[in-house]
Amino acid sequence: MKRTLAALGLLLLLLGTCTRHTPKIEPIEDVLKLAYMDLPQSGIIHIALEKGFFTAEGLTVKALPFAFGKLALASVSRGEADLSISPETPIVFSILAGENLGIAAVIGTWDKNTVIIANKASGVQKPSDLVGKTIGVTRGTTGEYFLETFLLVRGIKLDSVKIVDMQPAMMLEALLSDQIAAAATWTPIHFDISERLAEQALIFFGDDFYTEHLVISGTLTYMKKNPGAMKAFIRAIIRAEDFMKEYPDEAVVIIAEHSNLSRSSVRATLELLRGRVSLDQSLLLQLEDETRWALRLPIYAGQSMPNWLNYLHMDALDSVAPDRVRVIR
Amino acid sequence: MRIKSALTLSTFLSIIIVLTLGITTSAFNLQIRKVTAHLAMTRNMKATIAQRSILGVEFYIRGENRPLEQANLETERLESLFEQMRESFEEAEHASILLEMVSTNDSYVKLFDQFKSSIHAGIDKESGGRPHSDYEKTLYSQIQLKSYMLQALAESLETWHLRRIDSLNTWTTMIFSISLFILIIFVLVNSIWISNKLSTGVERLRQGATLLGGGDLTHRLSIFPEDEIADVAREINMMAESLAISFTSIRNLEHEVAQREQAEGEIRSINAGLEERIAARTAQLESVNKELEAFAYSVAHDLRAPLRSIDGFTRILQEEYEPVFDDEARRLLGIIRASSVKMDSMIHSLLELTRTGKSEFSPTDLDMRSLAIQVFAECSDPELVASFEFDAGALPDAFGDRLMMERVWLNLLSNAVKYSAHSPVRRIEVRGNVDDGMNVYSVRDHGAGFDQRYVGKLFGTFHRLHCESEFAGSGIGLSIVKKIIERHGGAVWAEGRVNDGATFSFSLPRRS
Repeated sequence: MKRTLAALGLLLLLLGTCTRHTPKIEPIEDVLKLAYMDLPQSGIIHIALEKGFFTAEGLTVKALPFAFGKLALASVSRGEADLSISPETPIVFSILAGENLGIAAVIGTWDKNTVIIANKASGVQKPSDLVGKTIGVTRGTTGEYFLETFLLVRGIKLDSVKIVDMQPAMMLEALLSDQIAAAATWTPIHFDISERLAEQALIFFGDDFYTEHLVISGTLTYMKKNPGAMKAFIRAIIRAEDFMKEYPDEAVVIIAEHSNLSRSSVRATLELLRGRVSLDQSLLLQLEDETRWALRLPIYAGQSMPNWLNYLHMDALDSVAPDRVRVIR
Repeated sequence: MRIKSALTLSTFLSIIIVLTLGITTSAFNLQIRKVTAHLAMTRNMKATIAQRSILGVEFYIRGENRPLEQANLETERLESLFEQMRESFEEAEHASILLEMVSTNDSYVKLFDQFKSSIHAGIDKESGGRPHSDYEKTLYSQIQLKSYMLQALAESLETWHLRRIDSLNTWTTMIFSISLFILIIFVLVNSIWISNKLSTGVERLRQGATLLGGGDLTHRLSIFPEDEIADVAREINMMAESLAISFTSIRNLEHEVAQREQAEGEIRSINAGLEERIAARTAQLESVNKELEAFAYSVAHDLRAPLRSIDGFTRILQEEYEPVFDDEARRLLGIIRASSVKMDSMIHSLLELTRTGKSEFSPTDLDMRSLAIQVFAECSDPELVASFEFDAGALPDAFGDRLMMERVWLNLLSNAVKYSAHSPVRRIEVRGNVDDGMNVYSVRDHGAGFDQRYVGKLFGTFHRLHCESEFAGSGIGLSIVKKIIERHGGAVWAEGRVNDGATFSFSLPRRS
């Protein structure tokens, strides 16, 4: 009997040795200040906050919500936040402005996030009707890039339209008051505008010429100095991504509560999004496309195309999930 | 648990483990094959995307139709692959990725068509005068971007499959190792357990057998736990019980034999004493008998002299003094003389009987038939004898004293004649035969016979079954016959009925 027990003990010991060892999570002392756009596109952040994935990774995150990405990135530029969640366009402008920013990962891409929404009452029935019209856009955002690319693809000269800078929140009123005939903006803002304009609303999508990337960016200094926090952050949002795939309905509820939007609006936004934490070659092309576009602006006159490879901080994602890094190196 | 059951269970479980191992390994192998096939498709797709991308670059640089056509072929191949993969890929995540790839590829194709149209139309070439317009560059940039996205998605699928294969291989190895380990442990534990059980049981049997073999038949082997050893123990216990009973019986038997031997010794001792006593008594009896015979002879002999004196003097009185006596006196004298004669006759017979016991015994071979015929002719008044039909059958020869045998035949035949004298049937039959080692002879007559109830008195001395006045005689003849026959070692007996004759038989031992 004793020999039998010894044999069983040996078996259990072997099985115990075979079981996977879970590494101990070391708490990170510094609080990570995260500026993010308080929109369903940042749903992955909502989930990570709500489900405690940051805390589970030993990370204390101070979440700083902003109306859109450009504002979130601006808080990083001001040193108020360590990381931000924003589309790539504001980053292009920041880099061209000489800021020491880096991109740690893309959290999602989509083709139909940014649109041009027109008021039929202003005489816009088709893209070419935009000629001679006033179009509202928030400068330095994806809206601006999208609008100008849209006009280019449609063969509409940039100087044949009047472009005015305005905050997204102002666009509905401007359309209703006929100050502008159309606005370049993103989801879910155009959902609200479309709802208000009702049958007068006309939406122009990008016809695949613009692939928008939602990225995690921050100062390269911060990212290099805080590899632990960066890895913990990446791990947490990958967990959030998995959660969203596994529990999509619960994810919609959480995001709707956090962004103070209806569940249907959140669901419609998420359906457009290809949420995947990654870092691949397509981002470089998009950044270069947008840089090429931005370099035509007078303020950047004389500047050359930066090597965007230098602005990619791949260490964290490469360390946590190397298969998600597909940048040619 | 019984050892046989344990062995059966052990074999059964081992087979189950091996089967489980085989089935699991086969299932994993099948899964690995499937995933490997999917991986091959994914790599094919990835290569197609890469080749199309290169052809796109060629077209972008040269604007020739050849790379365009090749790129179109690659697109068709890619769409065909998408279709195949959508049919064979089962993971929900893969379906989502494939959907995304199809969508991205559609964007690619759409953008490429626009790019191709732009190149062919030469719109911007004419207006801008540059090889590629900003529009074409933007389009191509997005084409390339979509291509990268497709590549990234294909790589993610490839990575997933590689990891899956790795995971399956790891699981296969782990399950195989664990199953093998469990099997080995199971076989070891089982072997040890059964070995312990057997050795303990056999040792228990050995100890029990040693005790029983040492003579302690009261010892009983333990029959727990209930297994084959217990069965053997039970059989040994039963055997011990039987042995104990047998031993007890043997001991009892030995005791009984000893008692019997003792009793036989005692009986032998008693017999020896009895024989001695019988011999002594026989000797005593013989002595007394001799004395009695001597006394009888002496009395008979001595009585005859005074009896002759009485008879003589009575005869003198009758002859000399007859006139003196009256009739009554003469009658009384006549009675005295008749009594004297009778008494003399009785004494004579008694002397004869006594002499029979005392006379010398000289046995010889005798022709009994001749002897019977000879004696019959002289046994009575010749006239009377001649009036009888004498039928002498074949008689076996005898071994005896001739004189004594003549006397036997004389007494029996004379009696037959005497008791048949008044009978209308005057026939005497003499027969003989051999029965049970004895010669048996008989004399049958058809005379007065006798009452069979009194046959016991027939051979007594002076006993008579008939009135003397009817048949004269001393009443001692058959006593003499009995004495002679018994002296020869034989026996005599009679059968008869009143007025229906009698048969007297005697037997003699055959000469050995």
